[in-house]
Amino acid sequence: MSGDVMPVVTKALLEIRDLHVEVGGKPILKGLTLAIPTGEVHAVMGPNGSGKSTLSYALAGRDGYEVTGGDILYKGESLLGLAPEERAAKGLFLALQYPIEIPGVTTMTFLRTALNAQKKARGEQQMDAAQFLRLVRAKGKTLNINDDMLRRPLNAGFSGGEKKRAEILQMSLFEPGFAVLDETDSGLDIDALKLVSEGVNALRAPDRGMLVITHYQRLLDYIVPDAVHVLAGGRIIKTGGRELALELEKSGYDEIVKAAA
Amino acid sequence: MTSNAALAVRQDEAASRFARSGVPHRRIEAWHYTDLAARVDGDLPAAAPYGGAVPNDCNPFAAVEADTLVFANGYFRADLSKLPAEAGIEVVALDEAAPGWAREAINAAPHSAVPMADLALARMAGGVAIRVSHNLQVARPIHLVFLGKSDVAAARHSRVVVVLGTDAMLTLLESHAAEGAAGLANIAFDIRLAANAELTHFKIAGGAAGETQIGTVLADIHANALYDIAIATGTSALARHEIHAALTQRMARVRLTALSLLSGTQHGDVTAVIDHAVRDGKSDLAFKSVLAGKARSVAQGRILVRPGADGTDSKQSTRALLLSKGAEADAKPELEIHAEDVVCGHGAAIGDLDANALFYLRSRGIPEREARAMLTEAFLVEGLARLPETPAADAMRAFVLNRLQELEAI
Repeated sequence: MSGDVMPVVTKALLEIRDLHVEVGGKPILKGLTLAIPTGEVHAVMGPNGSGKSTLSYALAGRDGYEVTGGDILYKGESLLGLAPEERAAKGLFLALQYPIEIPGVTTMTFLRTALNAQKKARGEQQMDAAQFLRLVRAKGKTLNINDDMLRRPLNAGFSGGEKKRAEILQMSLFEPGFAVLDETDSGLDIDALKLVSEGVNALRAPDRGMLVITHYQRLLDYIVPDAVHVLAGGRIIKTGGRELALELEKSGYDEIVKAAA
Repeated sequence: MTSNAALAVRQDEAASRFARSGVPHRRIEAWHYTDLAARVDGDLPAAAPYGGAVPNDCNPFAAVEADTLVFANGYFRADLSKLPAEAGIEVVALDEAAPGWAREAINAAPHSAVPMADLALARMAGGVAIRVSHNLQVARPIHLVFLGKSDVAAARHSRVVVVLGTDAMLTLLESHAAEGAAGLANIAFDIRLAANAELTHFKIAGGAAGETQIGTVLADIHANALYDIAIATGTSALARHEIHAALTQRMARVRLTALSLLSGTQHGDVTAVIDHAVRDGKSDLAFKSVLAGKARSVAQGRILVRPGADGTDSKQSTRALLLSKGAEADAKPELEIHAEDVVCGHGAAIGDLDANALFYLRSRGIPEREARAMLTEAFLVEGLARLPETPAADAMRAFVLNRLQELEAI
């Protein structure tokens, strides 16, 4: 892929160009290039330590993930230099591998504050409590999230499945233009995985892109990607179709990493 | 000291004890983190009486329907007060004419002398004694309003006696306001709770910038009685709240919720000394502070479980949120256990806002400032949840959240 000639005008919704990221002075991403067109779902697979989580945090703009080279373009506009909240307002969403527990803030309050903060930043009308309640109930229903769960403190004491469902509920409320799902399958049993995947699939749309980051191909049985990229040593070393994930599953990462070296 | 001694005799005794001890300083272990002697002169002259009206704008309990007992520069002012009218509640000035029950409660066993309480007695400008007869559940809180006004630095010493009969219930509100030169407010309480009595005490130590506020409570708690005190510390320069609670009969209980919101160079000290003298007592201490600037909080919880006090259930938690690098929190739990079958727990956590939580909120579109405010409030929610659902507790919650906004605006 590195030998491909990049078109000057790209239709990519999200484009990552030769991205270099350091964490604590240590280079983790070393020239990562990736483009996801509007309407597509791409998967990034990689062994432990390949830089998967660094990629997701760098996309979201987390402090401490220093971009030392390259660029991240969303709808043709660079995200570098934007705070996490500004990226969220522009339509970027990151579903975390380990959603954070916040005792003392109810899920409902958090969801409404976040949605209204995004709306405010975009100059849109904010939602009042009643409007919001109707919306969140409707969205929660399909994910099996009831009022009781919404009244509980955010993620506090939630099971692994509840946390991931709550992440997908956020995604369906915020209606992001681009979603990054970081190891969404980790800690889920098969029933929870199905439920979460259905939630994600329901959000596939012609005007939305997604990047599914995962170690195992299992998740891709449920969220079927349009393309699969292999991340190793901080770079994309191979790109292919759905079958690449199955190949990885069969032969492991070692062979592909060796072949690419 | 005989139990029915004249007040003057008790005051003389307290004065000579204080003359020996002096103002507590950092070389005394219980005052290691709060060097009062460096800040306060024990011979600070008493504030002169003043006849001003009660300022309403600095009353954090304004929304609560309550009877009021007003102290101005330490003097009890019946003329400015609204005394409880209900039969079964006695309120008397603490002077030579005070009845025996009032005088006898002062420094009563099992408490021994405490320096600042001795000073409050020795130099007392005025005091009151409140007694609620048995079986009476007083619906209207009694609000103790401590006012200060002086052109020169001066001290205001007062003493308050609260005696609850068997099965009696009372809510006490306490607030402070001062203007003029910063001085010392030094108030000591003698609290005696008979079996099954419940005293709820809300203290808001705010509204007196630059002041030194010392509050000492000497409580004797009998069978199944409960002393439940919540303290919110706001704006004074230095505050020390010292609670001595003796659980002298079975199943006696004490509960302390201390919420300190400090900025600048403020210093807030909450010290509890709990004496589990007999079996099956319960103590529950929660110290929470939010610190900005170079503020410092001190939380000390000393638990003594005497031989034979089996079945004791004691817990304490200290949590401090440091909003700036210059802030400091000191936590000192101290357990001295001489019984076998006891549950005594303590935990402490001091630190900055959780970076993961902050990133999480921001990644959802919540601006950093708002995210920090949410997390800081969330930190306090646990402490605020310990307060009951009453108008008085609501007033305290409002004070705390309002003060929190002040801290965040800095």
